[in-house]
Amino acid sequence: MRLGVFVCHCGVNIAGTVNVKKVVEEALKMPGVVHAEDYIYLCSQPGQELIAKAIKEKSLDGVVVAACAPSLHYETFAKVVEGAGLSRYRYEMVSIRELDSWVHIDKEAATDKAIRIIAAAVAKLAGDRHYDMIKMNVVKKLLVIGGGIAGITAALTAARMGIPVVLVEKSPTIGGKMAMLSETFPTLDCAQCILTPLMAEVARHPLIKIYTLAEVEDVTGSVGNFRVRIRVRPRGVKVEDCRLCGFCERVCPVQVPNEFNRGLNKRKAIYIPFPQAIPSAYAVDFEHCTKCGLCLKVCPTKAIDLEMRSEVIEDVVGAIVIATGYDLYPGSKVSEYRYGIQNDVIDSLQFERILSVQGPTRGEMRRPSDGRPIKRIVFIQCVGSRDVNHLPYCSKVCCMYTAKHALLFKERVPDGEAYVFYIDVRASGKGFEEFVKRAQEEAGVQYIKGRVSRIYKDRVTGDVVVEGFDLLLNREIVIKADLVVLALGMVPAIDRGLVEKLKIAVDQYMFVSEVHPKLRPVETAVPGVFVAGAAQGPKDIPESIAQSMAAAAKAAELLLRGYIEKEPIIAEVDRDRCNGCRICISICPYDAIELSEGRAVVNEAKCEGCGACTAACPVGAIQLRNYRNEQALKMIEAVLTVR
Amino acid sequence: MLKLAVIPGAICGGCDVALASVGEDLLKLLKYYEIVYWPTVIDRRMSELEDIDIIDVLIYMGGISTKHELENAKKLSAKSRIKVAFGTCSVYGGIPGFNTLYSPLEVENFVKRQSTMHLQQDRFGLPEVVEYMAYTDVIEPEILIPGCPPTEKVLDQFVKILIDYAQSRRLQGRHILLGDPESLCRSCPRKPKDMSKIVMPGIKRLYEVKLDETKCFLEQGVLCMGPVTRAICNHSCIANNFPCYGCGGPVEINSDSGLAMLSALSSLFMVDKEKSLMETGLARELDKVADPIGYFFKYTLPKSYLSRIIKMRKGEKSAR
Amino acid sequence: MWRPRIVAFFCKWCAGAAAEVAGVSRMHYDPSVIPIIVPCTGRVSPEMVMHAFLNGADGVLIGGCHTPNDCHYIAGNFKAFKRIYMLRKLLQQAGIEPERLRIEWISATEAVKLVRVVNEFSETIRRLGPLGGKHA
Repeated sequence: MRLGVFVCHCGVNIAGTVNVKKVVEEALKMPGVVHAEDYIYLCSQPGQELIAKAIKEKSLDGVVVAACAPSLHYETFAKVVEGAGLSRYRYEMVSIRELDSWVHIDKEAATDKAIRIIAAAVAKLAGDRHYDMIKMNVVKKLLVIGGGIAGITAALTAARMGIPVVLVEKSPTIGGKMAMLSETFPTLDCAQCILTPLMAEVARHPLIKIYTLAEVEDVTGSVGNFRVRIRVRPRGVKVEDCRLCGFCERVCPVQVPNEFNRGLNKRKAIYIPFPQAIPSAYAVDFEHCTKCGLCLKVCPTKAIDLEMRSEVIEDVVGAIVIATGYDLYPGSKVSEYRYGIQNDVIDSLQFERILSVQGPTRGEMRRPSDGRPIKRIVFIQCVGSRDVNHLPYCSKVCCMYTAKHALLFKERVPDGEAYVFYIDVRASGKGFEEFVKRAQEEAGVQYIKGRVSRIYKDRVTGDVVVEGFDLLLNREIVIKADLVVLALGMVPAIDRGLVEKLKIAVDQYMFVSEVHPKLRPVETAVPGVFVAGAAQGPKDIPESIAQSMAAAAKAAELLLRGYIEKEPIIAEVDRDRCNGCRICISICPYDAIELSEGRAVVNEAKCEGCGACTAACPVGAIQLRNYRNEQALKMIEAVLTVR
Repeated sequence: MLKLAVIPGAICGGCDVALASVGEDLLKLLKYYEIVYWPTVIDRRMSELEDIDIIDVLIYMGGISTKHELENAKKLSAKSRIKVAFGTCSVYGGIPGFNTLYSPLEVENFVKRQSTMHLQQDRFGLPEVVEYMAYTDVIEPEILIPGCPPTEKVLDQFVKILIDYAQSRRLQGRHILLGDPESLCRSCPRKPKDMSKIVMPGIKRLYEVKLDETKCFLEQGVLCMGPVTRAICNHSCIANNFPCYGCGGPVEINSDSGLAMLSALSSLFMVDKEKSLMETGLARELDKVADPIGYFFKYTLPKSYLSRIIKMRKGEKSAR
Repeated sequence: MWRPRIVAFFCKWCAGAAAEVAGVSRMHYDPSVIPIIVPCTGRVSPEMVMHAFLNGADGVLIGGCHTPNDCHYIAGNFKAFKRIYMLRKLLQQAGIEPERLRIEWISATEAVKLVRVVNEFSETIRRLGPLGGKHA
């Protein structure tokens, strides 16, 4: 053992309080130390050279630098040490400035403390070993889970960078909720007009492989090498042969509620969700198909195959983006409002379908129960949101889309009456405030601050009666409307099983948790797994798009490099001492320990080097490299007994 | 014939029963060894040992709690070739190790409060109480046999060693600790085949749970010292639906197994509920361990960090 | 004259960073506490604490990240809390003042708290006196 200790004056920052000469004198007495010296500015060029020279001339095999905080110059001296032929893991740096000379006035006490701090570092250094960096191959492929606007954006961003993408979508088409929208706020762009070109680009892109009617069944492995198993349910129709002629649909005898129109009308058991669906093909709903075979008879290209089975696709990807989107909070849970199509109390997405020219009413303002023209419409904001009985949080987009709905209604029914019951109006984005003002002032939408306590259908008149309270006028208000639209809250659509498989953190509402809202907004705690869109929290389309691009960029950071280099200071197991008690695997926050042949083994890719296992192991079999138990005990002894 | 003596220190009698229960194998030993002292089995006086110059094998049972025991142990060990620390009390201090929490004076006063014998000073004198210690605190034995009492498994080992020694006059190794150098978890019959994680659902006393006889105790909330205890037995308690209490002592002789188990258990405890219970909830559950010294250090207190700190505090020399 | 000897285990992400900020801000505090930086308070074992006491420490201070979510390694602070809680129970049962062992959550921005805790703890140990042994 030939250790060297270098004590920095840092001008007078250290030397003004700590007696550096005394420290050097004491350091030379420490076990293993053969060289100790002080210098005015170790981080300077001559200072660094001094260290390099000493390493070479004195054949030092370990170095302690006592100076400022490691956060400043750890790398500086690590490079000096490596340049002189020594491993950076045979080098320790301690602060005797921030943690000592800058916080104490008593010079004797500060000097004593510096000696002890250095003694601990020397004790640790004596047990430090060199380790090679862990180099892991990264598979240049991205898995995007969810084919809505967030998933589509992430897929395209990555593919445009030359990264192959696998896009997995649960329903028969990509497009998500945005495909259901009529127009988007605040510009009132036609949603389909923006979305369908993107969908087509995804379909065309040679680097993007789309699996629809598909779900991720299992994920194992870790960053750079995720092994994924995708289950693709049978479509019943060969995509490349389907010509979209629709003959099959005409003859199919089965009718079921159309989920794309949220139950407002019916579809057949062989159907296409909407004309611009991607893949551009029909699909068989095997749950309701009676296998009567009528469609087989009329298909001109023999594209239908009712015997199709589900397929399992296994693949390996380097990174994953979660873009599973949202659902609306179930309207039935807010029982006072009698949510239901027959009651003409519908949700915002259903109203989008009514607004849409491709929807069940061809864009005409007619209500779903009896087709009566809508002359008077009531919108209720915050249904389920900001409510201790349902969702305590704000769903962010409802104020804006309600204003949009009211505005669009008034454009189509100029002599109609639109009422909005609100608690607050949240219009925080660019142009948002102006948009709401437009609805209120130009379109004459009546905004009522207050809540609705009861809704019911008047059997005689067919009106939907809304009983509420107008806080600003301080009186009850009753509106007899044709239709009521509830702005139901946004809930995450992610499957609990997927959360468990990926081992990502979710909050109490099941929104995916980002590591840090400012420092790492699109990363999950699992390295290599990113999140984008409403899966992370309620947000609108521009935010989802921006976040998806960010997630793709972060994924590209590691995918384009081809390999990951990781610091080797992780835990390792002495397999002779391990008894397979399973305690370490049970507490490791990264699931980084496995049992193989009855004994623990650390997964190099997953271990982050926290040392919790080291302190928990009942027999000391698993140890954190360069912070082993025996090193820690020696450090403690050194601090207390060096003088 | 080699001379073998079994000397009792502060004993309960269990080690005598264990050694005697070796049964017919003891007769094998009689081919090589003459038992010069073993009060349980033969009729000899301690004073007869004065006349013996060399004892070949000295088996010391129990800890040391009186001046007489201390002096006796030293004197007899000094003239013994092979010293055997027999039983957990002898090796680690054992259950009487709780004495280290008290000074000799406190122990004396306690005994005086309990009994009236000392009042008849002329007929019965109270022994002079010393700071309680294990036999291993006095001398370094050649063979150490943990167990409360030592099990069939280690006694089998022991008999073989004695026979081998008698034949070769050489011991294979120094400071031989009997039993397997692994913890009971290594071959535990209650470990699941899939080696899945342990989810410890709080702390349950034995009477609070209907035990699943095939599942790991920790998985059922029942504390078990198996993870830190040397495999000196064939899981006799565990296989009979009783959690291990750690009578075999630590896997390695110098480890503080009580402290290791405290750490392991605290770490493992309700890991899946940490963030929902938070500190107050976790503390409330952890309070169910009402007697940490009694549970974690039942057999090994004199050898523990805790004991050494208590001694240091009292200003006495550390036992080791 | 007897001076308290206190060993502190500060995690590098939170309490250690707070200590650095305290230094940069030139906040003064009691020099009785010698810091050892650990990657996470979850690395601190009861053995380390007891080893400190046995070797002359009169007090041990552990500084980590706030629960529930600040720990850089997700839940190391909870492991530390549980272990220290048990250890304090043990010490109390043995007649050793559990106040000699303190665990605090100090985030990287809470330099003021760090200074307060160090000063408070030093004063506590001063009041409790030396733990015992030849160092007293």
